[in-house]
Amino acid sequence: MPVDFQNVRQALAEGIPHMREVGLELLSADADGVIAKIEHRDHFVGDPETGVIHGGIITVLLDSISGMCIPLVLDEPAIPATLDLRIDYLKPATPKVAIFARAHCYKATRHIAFSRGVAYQDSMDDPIAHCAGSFMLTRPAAAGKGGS
Amino acid sequence: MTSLLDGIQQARGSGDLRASIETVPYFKWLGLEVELREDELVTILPFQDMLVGNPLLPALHGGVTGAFLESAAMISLIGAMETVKLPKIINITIEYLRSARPLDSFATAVVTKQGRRVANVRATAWQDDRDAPIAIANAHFLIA
Repeated sequence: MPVDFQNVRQALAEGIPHMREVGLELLSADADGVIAKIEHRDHFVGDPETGVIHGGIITVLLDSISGMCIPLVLDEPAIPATLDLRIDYLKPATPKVAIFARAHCYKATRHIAFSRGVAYQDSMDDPIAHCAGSFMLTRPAAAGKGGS
Repeated sequence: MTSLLDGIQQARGSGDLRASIETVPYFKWLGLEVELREDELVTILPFQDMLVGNPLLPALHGGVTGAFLESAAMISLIGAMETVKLPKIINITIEYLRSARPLDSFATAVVTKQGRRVANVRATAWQDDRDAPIAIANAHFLIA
């Protein structure tokens, strides 16, 4: 399903409290994937000795875009609910530098969808984290019938 | 200033957990608290509006739940071992079981296996009913 990028970008930036709070900025979103970034803020630091940000901020970024990339590849509307998300931390983030991430949905069935993504700073080819997610899809026609 | 490492490890005596948690800027910003309850470290994420990821349900942001479980796993790991370094996370799998409602959340973790270099930790988060967890996570930490 194609989206009106500017509307989505604004809705996320203003309407989702935690995305607004961390300053998550959507850079692109289409069937090939979603790219977003979070600028450094000192209160994201997880290791005060090194200044490296906490993995939680990377989790928030990857979780956000992993969910967002699913509806973009579907032929009809569906709401994804995350079943699981696995994150591999490949190397420490460079302190005080923005974090980018890209995720895309590589497979969707009637009920389940799968995503892959990376978080990076300088280059997508040298990621700081990799993630894989699976999602349960709820189609509006089936909504309200309960159960999972 | 009490470091996170010292504070948690001394907590079984009378260490100042709050002060040690607040040495980590991200924990302080999230508002994380840690309590020692019957010899178990319980990490607490008090509800705040800014943690919401779905204002329609409403529900906590899934990434926040993941970050909370990762934090609880690390805090419990530090409490369980005599480490001199902060454990570094290698990977984490977060399994979402229920929508996290706008309530205070609690988490505990057990060290499933501690080797010389790597520890395996399993964390569970719940809200008003400990028997109905909202999410669980399994994580590996480098402890060497």
